[in-house]
Amino acid sequence: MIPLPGDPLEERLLRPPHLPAAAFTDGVMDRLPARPTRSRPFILGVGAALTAGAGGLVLAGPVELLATALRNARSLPGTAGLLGALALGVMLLTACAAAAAELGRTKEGCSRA
Amino acid sequence: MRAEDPDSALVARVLAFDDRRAFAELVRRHQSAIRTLLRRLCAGDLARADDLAQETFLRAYRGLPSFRGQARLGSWLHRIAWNVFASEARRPSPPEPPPPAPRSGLERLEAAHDLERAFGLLREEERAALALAYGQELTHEEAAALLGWPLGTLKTHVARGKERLRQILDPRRQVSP
Repeated sequence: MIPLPGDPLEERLLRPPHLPAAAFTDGVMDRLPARPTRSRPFILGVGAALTAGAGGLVLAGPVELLATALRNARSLPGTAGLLGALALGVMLLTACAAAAAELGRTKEGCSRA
Repeated sequence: MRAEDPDSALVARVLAFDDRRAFAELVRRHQSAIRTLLRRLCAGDLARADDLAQETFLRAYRGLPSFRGQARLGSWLHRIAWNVFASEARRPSPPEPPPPAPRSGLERLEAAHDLERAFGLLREEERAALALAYGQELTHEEAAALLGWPLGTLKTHVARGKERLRQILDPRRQVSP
């Protein structure tokens, strides 16, 4: 907006005095949310490693059983053997998907940090 | 974001690295305009205006990822400031005295030395219209859109508000109620 020449009110409305910034800016900066701590990625990484280790230990038994079952599936009679192998395969895929999802969540947490 | 916009590099640094120094520089650049706008809207209540100005910048910090740069940062901040003011004004609070016409000589004398406090003697619509239309960053069209008024209504309130301010600030003029 262009002030009318010689109109002091327009001048005062358009060009208010500049207010000192230091204290106000400090006040705003003090109220900003705290940054995530630098140790957060480390904590998340250690957590992910421990989770993976525990998951490996827990899954080792079932995986071994699954492998044995798959190896023996051929010796089962026709359709029953095929259905058994399919069911075991689905279980294996579900376990892999769950593990992948968990890993993805951990990675996302790390990248946000 | 516009290439010539001097704020764009700072905004980019805040977004990419959560650069607090860059954000502080943005606050320094825009605080005076935002605080002046809110002082006018708050009719010279400096403490309340500064509280709302801080809230404005905090909301801006949180909302910066949604700032696409179609508008200047300054006008975006003015919009946030108006929204902060409007939402605070909607909250139930102790009843305020109705906006008075300046009656006493002392009141007029004080107002004459303080434009922001003189805004307190305007009607609410005149105060909002003048504060936003003279907010350095908004065009009349943008101010009207923000207030949800037709452009003509804004201009009417601006003209009436200016006339009342002239009367308040010049003790020789007759103040209309």
